[in-house]
Amino acid sequence: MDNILGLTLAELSALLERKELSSRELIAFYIDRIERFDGKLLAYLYKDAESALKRAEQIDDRRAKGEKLPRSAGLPCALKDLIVTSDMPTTCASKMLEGFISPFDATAAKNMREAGYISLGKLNMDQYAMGSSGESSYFQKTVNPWDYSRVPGGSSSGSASAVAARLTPVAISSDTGGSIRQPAGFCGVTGLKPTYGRVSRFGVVSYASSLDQLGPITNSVEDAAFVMDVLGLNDPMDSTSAPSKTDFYANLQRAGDSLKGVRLGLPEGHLSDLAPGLKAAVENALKDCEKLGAEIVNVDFPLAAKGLPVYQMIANAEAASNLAKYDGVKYGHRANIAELEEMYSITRREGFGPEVKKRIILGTYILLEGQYEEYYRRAMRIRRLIRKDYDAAFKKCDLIVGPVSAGVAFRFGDKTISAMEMYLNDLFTVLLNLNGSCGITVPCGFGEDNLPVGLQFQGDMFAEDALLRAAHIYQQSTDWHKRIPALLENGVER
Amino acid sequence: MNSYEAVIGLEVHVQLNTAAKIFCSCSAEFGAEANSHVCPVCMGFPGTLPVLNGAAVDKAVQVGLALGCEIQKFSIFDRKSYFYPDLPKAYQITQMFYPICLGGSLNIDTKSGSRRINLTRIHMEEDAGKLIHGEGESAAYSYVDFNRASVPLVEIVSEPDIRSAEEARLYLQKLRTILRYINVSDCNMEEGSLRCDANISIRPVGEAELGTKVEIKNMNSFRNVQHAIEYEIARQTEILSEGGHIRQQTRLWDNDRGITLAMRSKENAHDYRYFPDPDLFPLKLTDEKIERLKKTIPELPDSRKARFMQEYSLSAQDADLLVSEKDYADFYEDALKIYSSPKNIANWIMSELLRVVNQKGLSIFNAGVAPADIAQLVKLIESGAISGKQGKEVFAEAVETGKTPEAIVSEKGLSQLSDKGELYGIVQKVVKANPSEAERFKSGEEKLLGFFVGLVIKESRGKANPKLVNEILKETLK
Repeated sequence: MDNILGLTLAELSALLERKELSSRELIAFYIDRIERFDGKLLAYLYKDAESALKRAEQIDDRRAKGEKLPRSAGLPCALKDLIVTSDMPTTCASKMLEGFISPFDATAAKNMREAGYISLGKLNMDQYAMGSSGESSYFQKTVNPWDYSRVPGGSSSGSASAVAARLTPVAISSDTGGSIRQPAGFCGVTGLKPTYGRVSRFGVVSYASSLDQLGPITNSVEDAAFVMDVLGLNDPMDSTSAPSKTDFYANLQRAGDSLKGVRLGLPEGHLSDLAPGLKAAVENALKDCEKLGAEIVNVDFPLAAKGLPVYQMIANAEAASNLAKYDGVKYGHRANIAELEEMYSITRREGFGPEVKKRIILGTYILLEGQYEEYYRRAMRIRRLIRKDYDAAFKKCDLIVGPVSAGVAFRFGDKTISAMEMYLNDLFTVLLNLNGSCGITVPCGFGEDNLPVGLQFQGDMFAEDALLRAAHIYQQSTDWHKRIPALLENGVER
Repeated sequence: MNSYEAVIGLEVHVQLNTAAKIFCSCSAEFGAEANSHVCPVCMGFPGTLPVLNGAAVDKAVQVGLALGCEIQKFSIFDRKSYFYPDLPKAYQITQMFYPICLGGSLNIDTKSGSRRINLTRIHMEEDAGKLIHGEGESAAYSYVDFNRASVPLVEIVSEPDIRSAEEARLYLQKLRTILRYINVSDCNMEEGSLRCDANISIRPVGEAELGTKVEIKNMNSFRNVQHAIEYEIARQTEILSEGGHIRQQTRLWDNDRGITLAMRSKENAHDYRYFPDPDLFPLKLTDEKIERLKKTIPELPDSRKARFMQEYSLSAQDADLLVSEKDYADFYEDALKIYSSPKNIANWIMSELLRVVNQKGLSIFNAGVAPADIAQLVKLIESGAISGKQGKEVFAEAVETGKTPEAIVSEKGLSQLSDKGELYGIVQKVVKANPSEAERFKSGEEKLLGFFVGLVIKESRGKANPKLVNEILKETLK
């Protein structure tokens, strides 16, 4: 059974189809790992072993009867806890939504289920996806499987940690300013942020509507493509949803093994100010790409320094508006107070954590009459200019390449890291969300303290095929993605 | 003492009569059981997103076209934020910066002639839910009905061109007529499908600068609008006359007490933190679509009235009444197509049919008589087949039974005896039976004509055509 961990989703699917492995065995295998290791990792907020096993048995029965099943029928998955589900609570790792059960399923959850994926549970995150370390979760702090004293990154802390520890082969996560790519880098796994509109946002609890995008965290680019065929369906319930695309995996099969003719753009200054060990890993990865035939060219983002403030303006403004609905009237936490205004105020004081409150206050200020022109409108104008920079860059190169963070995973509560430095960790990721196009992190080695380092590729709008192809060819030339951290079970490394 | 003039602008919210709500597929129908037309989207549940209902866009464009607006090919939906239990998302999706229509106007007929009231803009938005405050034992509670949440609205904003409470009422009535013509709303103020807020200021006559404006809310009938504005003009006039100054504020009309009461002043005004809704792309309209919608706009009341006066020689008053509802005018012209007697058919519709329509609260096409029936009835009367008095009986019977006038006339044997030969025979018989009266008539006692007419009609069991009987008697007794 242990060689299951080395298999891709497609290989597992083939085993299931040939009935050499039952879905029940596969699901039980992962449930066993969760039971053994999640007590320390704290990646899952909610698990339902019983339902998962029952669904696995149903799929096995149908397969036994000779029913034609989708290729992903019987495979396990897990969902970041901001994807609403009617069979499990959705909390956004907040007190505000503690125990909340949605009356409907998110389109992504529905598509996964209809394709036969079996959800093992819901994964921890920074509260309302606000944070880069996972530490703002109201419930628990997920640890980095490579070093339990380190953060897994955020906001998809549980997703990246669970995939790295092989407590699920795939986690559906979200990326608003790097929330898939940065934790994937910290945990040494593969994280894809598709183009805005590629995956339906219906049923994804909104943080910043114009930036939020769902995508998979997996153990390989190949697995990411495999899952994208299910996630990439058009959704009439989301006005910003793109036309359906279901040939990610098929196109990747024709990838070949050469990066010849691929121009990789390295943004000016992206290799300075990096932690030395991380820098070395990234530089080696760039050399590997060149050996595979890629050409490294310089690209310039003159407005890069503006990216973070612009991101904060837009994200906080949208967040303040999106989170206004949590007023205690219809669902979620409600303070037991009779007077209306006071009920609103105490409900929100009790229900939201400090990071969420800070962003709501900033966002509210930015949208006030008088401030709106000064901050929000100006941020939107600069965002359009940043998009022009991307357009210009993609005339000089096919993909952009570089680090996904300035350093490796940091220690919990590291007081030497200021709030501003925490935000600086977003620097390499937020520009892509402002542009709206796709990006992926793949593991590219180990840096300081033997912690994983991620390499980020960024593609143009809806250019997932080219992005996945390059990342895949690079990944196939390495074995970083096959390294599995030693996990603690009853204090013993396994 | 100075004399003052009022400067009034109206903001009118109109619910569009689409089948579904503006951003979800729930029914937008009025009057259903509380919270039966709701879904996660219009309840603002986590993860939900708005999807614009194209039918609401079409209707908003039709409103703009009927009111002569410039339809904007590019408009944007914005979020207007405030906390209130009837607002599920804590923001209302509206159009603040780039509305779907700009400009436009409508004409009102005042005592001193026609006046044009200009419009500033029309924008689309979603309605809020409805708060219902508990009574009796549950007086401590308020309840929310989300059926109305996300019903599509247009807000029609006028320029401050209105000068009196009377004009305000005329403006609203005209607006209602036009919107009902294009079938975008039933514009029922009592049910809230048309709601009106008024901005009122006054200034000395001749003064160009505007005075401080006061906004009046909570007027739920055309009459209330007029009363509230009259009250507010008087209130402001009194304050200024006494040397006071007007505070910029929002006031509520208290219908029971017939006064306006201060609600909030400008210092406490909301900051709505408008910004473009990132969940919706800008709304783009093509020329083709606007052209297609233009073709759906029927002849509107102003031009129809003018045509009725010219084509059918109706008085302004009659034409006004007939064009006040599109159905009335359509019914009228349907009847004319069958029998062209514009004056008489107009009279029958206005005096008889509309009485029934108003009594029974029915639409004119469902009142029991079809346009063809009215046409037939008028034809029967004009041809002398039945008398006007009989016509009324036939009409009443037709309304009651749904039978055609011809069927009723023949069933009841009502048709008049107009055969001259037969009438001549009856007249001869009656004259022979009353020789002395005949002599007296011949020698000049003309009032006896009535006596003979009565006898002839009696002899014919009421069927004789009185006009013909008169003629034959006069001839016979010459």
